[in-house]
Amino acid sequence: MRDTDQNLTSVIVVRSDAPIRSIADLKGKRVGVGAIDSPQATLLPLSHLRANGTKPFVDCRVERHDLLSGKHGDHIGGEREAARALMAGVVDAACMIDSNHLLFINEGTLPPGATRVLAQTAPYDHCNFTLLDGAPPELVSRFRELLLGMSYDDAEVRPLLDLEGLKAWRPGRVTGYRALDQAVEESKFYDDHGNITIAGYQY
Amino acid sequence: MTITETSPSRVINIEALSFTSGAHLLLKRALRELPAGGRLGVRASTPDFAVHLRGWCREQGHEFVEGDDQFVAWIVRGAAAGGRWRQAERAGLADARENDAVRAAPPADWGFASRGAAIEPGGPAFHYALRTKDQVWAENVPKLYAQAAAAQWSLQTAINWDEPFALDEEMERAVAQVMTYLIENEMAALQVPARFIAQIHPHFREVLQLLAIQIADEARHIEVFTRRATLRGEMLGLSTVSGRQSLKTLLDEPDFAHASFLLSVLGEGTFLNLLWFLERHAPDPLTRQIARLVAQDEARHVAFGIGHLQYQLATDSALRERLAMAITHRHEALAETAGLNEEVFDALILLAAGSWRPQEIAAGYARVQTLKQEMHSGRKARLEKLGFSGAEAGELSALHTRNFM
Ligand SMILES: [Fe+2]
Ligand SMILES: [Fe+2]
Repeated sequence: MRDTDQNLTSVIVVRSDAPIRSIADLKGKRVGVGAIDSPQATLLPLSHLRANGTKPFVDCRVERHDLLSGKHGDHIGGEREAARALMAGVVDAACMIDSNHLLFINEGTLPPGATRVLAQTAPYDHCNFTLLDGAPPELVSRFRELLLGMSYDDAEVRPLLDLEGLKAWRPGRVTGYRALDQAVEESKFYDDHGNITIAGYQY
Repeated sequence: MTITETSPSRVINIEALSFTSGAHLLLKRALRELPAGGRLGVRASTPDFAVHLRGWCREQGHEFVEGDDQFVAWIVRGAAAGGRWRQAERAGLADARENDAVRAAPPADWGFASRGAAIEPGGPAFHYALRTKDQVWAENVPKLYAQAAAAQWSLQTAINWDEPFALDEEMERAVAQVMTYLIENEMAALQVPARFIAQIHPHFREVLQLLAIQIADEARHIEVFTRRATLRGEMLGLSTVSGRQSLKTLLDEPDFAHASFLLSVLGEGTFLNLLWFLERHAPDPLTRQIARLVAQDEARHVAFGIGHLQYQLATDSALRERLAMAITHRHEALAETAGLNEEVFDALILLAAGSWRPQEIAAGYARVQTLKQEMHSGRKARLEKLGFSGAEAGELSALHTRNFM
């Protein structure tokens, strides 16, 4: 997996002047999230609310921003729409990756100083290369070896690393997905057979 | 990355500077002082600083370690930071006078990088046809550029447009005819180097700069000749087929060395004699002054042409034969044309005569004959500077276009 896919956090952002000081204050409010299948902008932040005593859909409204659903969060569009909705006053909170809060300020989506971070999730991991059962082990280990051998000091491979937005490949790990696993369970995204059963998924 | 107790560490207080106002500059500066694995303790007072710092560290390849009551966070410097610089190579040196400042064959992927910059390896190849020092360089290039930049004159201030003089209508028309001829030659002198500029590797920046200024010189010449021609309300004179034919062969010449040879050494060289002639014999002070200023510029254009070909000939003596062929080909291509515009010749005689009196006309005619001899001996001398023998130089000079340029 990429180094940049490790130890992400998501943040729940509110307008600076809003009288919202804690997650409990989100009760009765509208929370803007990303696409239905976005780990960072929907599933994990909603799980964080739940863990802190505010049940999504029950205690607060959830406004989804379904851009490029089906990409499982590999698209920034839904988060940006949630951020825009926050500034437009359509929602009272917006969920996004930690670094996107800074990005949205720098690109002008969020005016500097107009928002503050209300809550932050624990670190989690994002993308990885997942193997199907029965993948040929020699090829897998060769692939792994090649990726881990790429050095940012090497001019030949550096453009590829830049393109993929990483400095180094890291050995994969499953420890960074526990929170997501739980969030997916809570949202009843899949049934026991792996069929998508969450309401509103149509992609 | 492992954090050991022995890793060097530093601390920094960012105070109220946030990531939306440049905090990363201070962090980068502090991290440069640390080796990979070194730790930087960060104190900061803006809200959300730790959130942004975490994202920034991830993107930069540093490790973010949760802070404590003293520090917002610790940054562990990643190994990738500075990777872009690690294999970077100096693209020669900025000052061409230093040893090895200018490479003989700069790599194609250096592209627009400034000479002397540290070059991150890789990137697209720039396809420059003129990519070796031999193809474009001259020992006198840096000096010529400095001279050219210092000697730029203004059309408004360098010329005394209000200086009174009286010329009759026919004499004024002769001036306009000579100017008309000069303008079309200047246009060729502008476009020919312009064709080559984008084919030269930017590593040879002084050559590009010099050619760019040369083109600006020609633009000014076009303007000043046009203003002189029309100063007294005269229309411009005649442009002949043979003149345009002769100049087109310059524009059509695809080889830089051949084009420099035909245009700068032979053409602009011959032009120098013509301008000196006008400086001496033009009937009015304005035309004389203009001819003097333009000749100064042209002398540099000639000097670069000679300097460059001397440089290339030093390593490629077979070029001399190809240059001789280039004159011969051009001569053959133009053999069926009429040669110099009759109107121009007649105008030159009249200008040099200064009046219609027969004995003055005879003197003017003699001066133009002298001019032609001076042009020939000037070309011969320049050819000898390129290593042609006296006999070869004489023969080749005689083959030069009768249009002068
Ligand atoms: Fe000129
Ligand atoms: Fe010139």
